[in-house]
Amino acid sequence: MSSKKKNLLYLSLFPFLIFGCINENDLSLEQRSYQLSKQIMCPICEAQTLDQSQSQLSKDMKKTILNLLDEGKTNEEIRDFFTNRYGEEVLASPPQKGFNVFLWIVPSIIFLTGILIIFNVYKNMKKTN
Amino acid sequence: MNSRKKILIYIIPISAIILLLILSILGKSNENSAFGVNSSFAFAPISIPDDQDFSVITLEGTKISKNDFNGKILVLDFWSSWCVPCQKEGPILSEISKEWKKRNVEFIGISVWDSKENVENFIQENQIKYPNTIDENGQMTVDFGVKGIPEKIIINPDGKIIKRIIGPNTQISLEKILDDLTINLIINNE
Amino acid sequence: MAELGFSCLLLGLSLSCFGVIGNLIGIITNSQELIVSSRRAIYMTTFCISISIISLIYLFISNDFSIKYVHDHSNLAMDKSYVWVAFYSGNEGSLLYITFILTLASSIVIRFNFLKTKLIIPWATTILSGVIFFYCLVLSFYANPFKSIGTEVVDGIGINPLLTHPGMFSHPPMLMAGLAIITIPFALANASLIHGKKLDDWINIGRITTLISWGILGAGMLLGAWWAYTILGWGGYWSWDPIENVALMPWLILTAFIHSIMVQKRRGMFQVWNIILLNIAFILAQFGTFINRGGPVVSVHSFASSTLGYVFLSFLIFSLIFSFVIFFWRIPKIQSKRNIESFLSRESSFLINNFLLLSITFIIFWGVIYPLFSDVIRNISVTVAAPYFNRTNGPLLLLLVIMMGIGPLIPWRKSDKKILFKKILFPLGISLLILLSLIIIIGLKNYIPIIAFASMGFALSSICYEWISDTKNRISSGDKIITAWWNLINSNRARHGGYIVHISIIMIGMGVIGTNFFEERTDQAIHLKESVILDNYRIEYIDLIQKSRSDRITNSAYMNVYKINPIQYEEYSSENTKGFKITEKNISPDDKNIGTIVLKHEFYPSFNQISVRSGILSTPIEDIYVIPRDFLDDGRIGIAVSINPMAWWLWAAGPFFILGTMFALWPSRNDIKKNINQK
Repeated sequence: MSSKKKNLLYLSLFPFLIFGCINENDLSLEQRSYQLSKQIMCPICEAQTLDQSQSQLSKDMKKTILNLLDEGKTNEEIRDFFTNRYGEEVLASPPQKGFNVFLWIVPSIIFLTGILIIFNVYKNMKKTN
Repeated sequence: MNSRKKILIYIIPISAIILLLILSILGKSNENSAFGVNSSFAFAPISIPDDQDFSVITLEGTKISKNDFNGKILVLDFWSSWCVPCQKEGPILSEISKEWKKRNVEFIGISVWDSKENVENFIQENQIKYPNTIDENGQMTVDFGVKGIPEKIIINPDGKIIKRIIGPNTQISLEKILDDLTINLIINNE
Repeated sequence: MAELGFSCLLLGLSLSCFGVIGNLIGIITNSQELIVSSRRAIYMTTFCISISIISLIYLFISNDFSIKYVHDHSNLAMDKSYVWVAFYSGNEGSLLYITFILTLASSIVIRFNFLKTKLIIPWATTILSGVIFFYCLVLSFYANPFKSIGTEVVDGIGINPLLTHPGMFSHPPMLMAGLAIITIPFALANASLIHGKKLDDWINIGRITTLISWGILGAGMLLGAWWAYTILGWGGYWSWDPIENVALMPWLILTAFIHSIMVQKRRGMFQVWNIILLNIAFILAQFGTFINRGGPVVSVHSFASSTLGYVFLSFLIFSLIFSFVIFFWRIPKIQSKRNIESFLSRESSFLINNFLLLSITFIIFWGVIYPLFSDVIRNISVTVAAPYFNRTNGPLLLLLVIMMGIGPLIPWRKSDKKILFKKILFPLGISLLILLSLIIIIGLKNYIPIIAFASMGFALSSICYEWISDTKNRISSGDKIITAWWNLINSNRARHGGYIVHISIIMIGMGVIGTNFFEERTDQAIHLKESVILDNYRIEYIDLIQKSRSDRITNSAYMNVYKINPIQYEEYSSENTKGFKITEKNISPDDKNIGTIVLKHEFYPSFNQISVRSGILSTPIEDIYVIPRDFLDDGRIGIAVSINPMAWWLWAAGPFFILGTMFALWPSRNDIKKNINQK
């Protein structure tokens, strides 16, 4: 593969890298609790986050989030707290570690495969012309 | 030959997905624990840190915490007066707790998502003697990872969580569990 | 009446079975009589299913609770206008409805077949009869809506209270209709593939039916989002729920198709690719049906779940094998006549568009099935929801918006770099202007919305540029502005209808970015006469009305919304929270009342279900959106107040979307003439 193509490949990965990194220190506790309530599912509802759910348990869990934030816990620690108690499925999307890396890597593979196919089409184009 | 290879490229991942779908509907259970009520009996894996602490204020106003029960087997019962399986369990727990107090087993009732009036009526009706508390902010519920009621968490004399039971117990099932635990303890101590 | 309905269903079953067998034998023995007769069998099936549907509706209206389906989904207290909703609110009724739409659409397409498709119609009829046969089979033996309970029953259980909302009159039937109609282009495409020689004959009618299916599906999803925003009371409109995803995936594939079919129409390329796209869309629609009805995935939309998983999975596998066999049997005979000539060509931009849409679809698909994967392989359940989809699809959607701006500027075949550069200068300048003004004047720090707004500005201004410059050309030849523009967009309806849809997509994009990145939000509990202050607004709790009806207890809280000057309230604000509350005596007299909102909280004891209706005051700039959370014992009401910037644009996009689709579909005089001549 030529170096030009390689660079293009790296470039194509770029959008995935820059997306979705918000610095949690910039936010107020209220905003962080709100953010967390969108990242944690209600364990007894079907496919609803704490934020969406009206159930009593999710209200209790939201209070717990606020308490833990007051204690100075990081978002990561709070997510772990709930994962320990309700299992991995309590997170709205699994963390990017362990087996779950698989979930996050396949989209890039899909994207790259697509790019390779398109490259091929253009290569054939040059040949026939 | 080349076109056959091409076909395989498509067929293999698709058949893998189909296999996955078949496997997953085979394993699908139709049980639905709606509104957080556990209607059937089961042991659940303990995922919470097994030294989880607690400290609550009982209906009588006294403060109790886990350390008060060192050296005893402690049964935490999460329940609610409106929950049908819990209502059936009421007299059984009242009976067993009196019986097993002599054998160093203590009970604490933690009532979740409930009102004080209903809880007191329930305790009166079933003549429950062990301490009860109302988990107003849901702290106990969340700390112990309780998803539905009734649920019982059993703590050993060293303060470690050793069993989690979801769903209603019968007199026989609960006594058997306690029997096994106490026998094990005696063996371990010897 | 139930007997009539059921026997019509059985009749439909045997007729569609005859449709398959008769057609096949007819084609093999070349017997025209048999082909015509089995075509008529489809018309009769449509008639039978219609009778079935009428009898089910009659059973609902006459409150015949001895029928299980009526008993489960209706009761005496239900308003009769909700019969239409109740009728498809369960598994059996919705399947009957899908079958009806499918037979109706098939009949129309087969009856009004245009001369060009005459050769492939027998094969298309066979495939359609086969699909209809499957649905009739399910209805007759697995999900019979006419099953009787056996005893007389006075009252039914009732309709799910979450469904009693105006959006429900159109959202589910539109989604189901859209997904059902995909079958038509699928059948046409595969029929032409089986026939083997006439690979271009089906594309006109195939494009029209796809556009219909795509438009209905898209409008249905928008309505669903609107329903979620106003009634589900969780403050959102799209949660990347599995059921939402399985409707979105075929829609995305159809979007790819309606672009790439233009390449086949204009340049005769992508013949095979278009058929593949329709196969994928059809299979994904079947996958959606499987997930919806007894699939293994957890979802909020559990209204129609059942144990029909095996049946629909078998059909999914069957349709997969069918399309594979047809495809690989025929593919060696087909060679595309032409190749793409240049990287800078319309064809090539459609290729990239297809690649992006397919990538998004497969990424969504992976997210939907990953929980099953994790469950089967390591026996741990996981949830895959919004964070995954936003993060992986977000950048690709942005690229798609940018492509939306570049694509239309590039001509077919190949283009001159200089001309293209000249054309692209204007939209590029506009988007740079937006970029700079967002950073410098408004002072935004988060780069994602900045890039997003700039790309949307790019796409929008590229459409405007083309409209303005082409209208100018027409004005110089003597037309008035409005007639010039009108004539311009009428000169190529498919293209300019597409632009209108593009504008609606940009509007949706604005709503999505606004609500996701600039939402302000606070949770408070207030007494009567107290107010919550958030940003430039004060929301005052003025009244509470409680009503008890036979089936529900309703709490309606009334709140006045005031536009305020936040400086006047600065002394009451708190450091930790965005919003804060104040009492009656601290209110400033300068506040301007801009409206009253009603928050409804309904409890249905027989369902043990809460239905919440948010109070919304909507303006093009921002929505004031108040969700009632709880009614506390001390008389306070817990509310979540949020300000959703630009949410209005999401719903304003709906009419544009429908308008654009209809415009693209509207036949031009030339088309009509051609058809008449052909007949």
